[in-house]
Amino acid sequence: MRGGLAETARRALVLLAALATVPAGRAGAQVQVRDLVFTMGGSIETYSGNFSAVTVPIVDSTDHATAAVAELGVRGAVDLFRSRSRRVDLSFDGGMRQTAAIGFEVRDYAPREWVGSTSVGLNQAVGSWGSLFAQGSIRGRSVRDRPPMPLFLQPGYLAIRGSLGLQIPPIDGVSFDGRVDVESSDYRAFHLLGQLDLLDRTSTGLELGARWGGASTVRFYAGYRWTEYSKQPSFDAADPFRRDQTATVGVEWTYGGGVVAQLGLDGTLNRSNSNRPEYDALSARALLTAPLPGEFTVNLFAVLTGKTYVHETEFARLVPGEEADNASIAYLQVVRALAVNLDGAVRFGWARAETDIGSAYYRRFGLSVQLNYRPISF
Amino acid sequence: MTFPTRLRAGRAAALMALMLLPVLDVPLASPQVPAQSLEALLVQRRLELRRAREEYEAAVAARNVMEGQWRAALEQASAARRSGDDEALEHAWAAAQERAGPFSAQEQRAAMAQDTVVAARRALVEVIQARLEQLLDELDAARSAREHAELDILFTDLRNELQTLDAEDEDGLSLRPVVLPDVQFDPRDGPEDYEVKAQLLERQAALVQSLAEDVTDRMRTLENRLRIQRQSSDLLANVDRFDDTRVPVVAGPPRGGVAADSTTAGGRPLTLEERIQELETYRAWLDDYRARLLQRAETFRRRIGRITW
Repeated sequence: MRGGLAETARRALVLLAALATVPAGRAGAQVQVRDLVFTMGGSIETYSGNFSAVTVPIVDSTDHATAAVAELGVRGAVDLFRSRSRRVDLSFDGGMRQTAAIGFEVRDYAPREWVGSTSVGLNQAVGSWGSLFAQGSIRGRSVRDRPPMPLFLQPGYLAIRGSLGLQIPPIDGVSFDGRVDVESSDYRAFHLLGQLDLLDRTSTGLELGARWGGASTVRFYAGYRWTEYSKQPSFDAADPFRRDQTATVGVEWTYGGGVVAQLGLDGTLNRSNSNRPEYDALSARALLTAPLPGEFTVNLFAVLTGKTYVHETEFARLVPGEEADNASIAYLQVVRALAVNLDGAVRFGWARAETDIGSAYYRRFGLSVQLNYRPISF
Repeated sequence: MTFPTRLRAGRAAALMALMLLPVLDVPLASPQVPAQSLEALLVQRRLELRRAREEYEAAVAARNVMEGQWRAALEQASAARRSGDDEALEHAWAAAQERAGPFSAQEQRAAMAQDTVVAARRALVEVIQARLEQLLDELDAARSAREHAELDILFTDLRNELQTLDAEDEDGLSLRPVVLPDVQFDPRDGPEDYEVKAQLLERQAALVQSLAEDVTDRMRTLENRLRIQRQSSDLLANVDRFDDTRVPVVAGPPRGGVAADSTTAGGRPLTLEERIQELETYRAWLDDYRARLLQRAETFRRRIGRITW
């Protein structure tokens, strides 16, 4: 797997080198770079919560940990083909994050994360039917020296996803959209941490939405998802492996113009052939980007989630690393252009998420400084 | 379903035309304007264009008469010079001088009448575009095949009228790098003719300049929106990159994030970047056209200088 990641990184570098030779977005050319962003940043983060976690083989008794973090990232979008009726584009994102964590009882940790993702998308006008869109993507990450709780880092995995959708032109001012997707996730289980294999899953989802409005739009949507955990027992001899079905309904209001604003509310019902992970959840989401005086811009992204379990169980409800759908996240960021194509940002982050133990949470606070550089201007 | 391709092409044509003629003061495109009002306005604008054309034709006819009289005086002067008749030459120059004033005034009147025609044509095009947009919505909402067919015919007729007007406009205030057909060098022209032609070209250049400024304003608006959208995307991408927003692990795509700001113009949705690029190309073309007009006007003025010497 590591060899695969190295190969992926090498190919990404080759791709970037190739992109450097592609002329910036101008009409007439078939292959055009639509966006390219290099990011570097540093942050100080604190973690609190004294829990053991089956996902991490190491246990530490500390309640608090502090970490200094440095990260590098690059992402971009390239139009491979573009006409009035069709666009094929490639998106990529990759990065490395190095953490130096202190405050643990046993020893200090220096986890390093490598992440990468890429996707190819097609957007095709299909006459009066509207627009058809299809996307295939792959996403992976790896973590070395993964620390114990409360410094939670996602385990490494490789996920492949494909989706197909249709957006129908407005009828009486209401446009409809639909999408199906298939996803397969493979978690990296090392010989000391075979439990991560329990998270391996395939899922298929369907979502239908209706949207209306102009600059300000409202979208109602409903979705259904089937998920199979082929390595996770259900404790039912007749139906031995876990199968979940998740229904979601939601509403989303979006305003796009001089200010970007979005509010969303999701309701989720998760039912399973194993009664342990059955739950109901409600999640509220907010996104705001607004200009401030002095060429500053404020960004806010927040997700607040509450969850109740359908059944009481005496042992840990959650599969190691799963943590179900119960995280609350908030990011507040102030951005200012420091030079042409260079933005500087100060970001405050907060997260509260459920650990392996149901209804037990860890918290994270972070203060970051980041630079976003776009070498290509339009 | 016989209309889709034509409809989408029509929508594209209407929107492209709208882009090419952006100096619109009347908010006709508002969906609140009833169809009957637009139909009544269409009739009114057609009448106005017809009247403007009649006045222009009358002005051109009068100008041609004046031009003929002026040229006749010049020919008499030329004949007198050849024959060495100084007295006849003096009379001919006086007659030419006397007729130059009315000819110049009539030339101006014709130019103004031409401007009126252009304005009336633009006003009509504006209403047609608004009505076409309205018809697209009505077509989308048509409840029966018959109603749909009727609206489709109306749409096609109106679109043909729009194309005809656009073609006519190419001879007038064309947004193509072609100098007005009637603004040509003529060896019989005098300084005043050159002055009038130079001014005509400069007026057109000024109009093109105002179009370019309007396009620039729209580009700035879109660029600001793109900047805001990108900063929003930067935040989400940077926190999503290392799965910080995927705490905890969930199946399916993560929620959140703003859909790309896009618009549909006769095909797939266009991104903000694409819309900005289209405007950029159009503005570059306008700049080039304006430069050609001014260059042409300058050439006329240089000729005035040569004649004066």
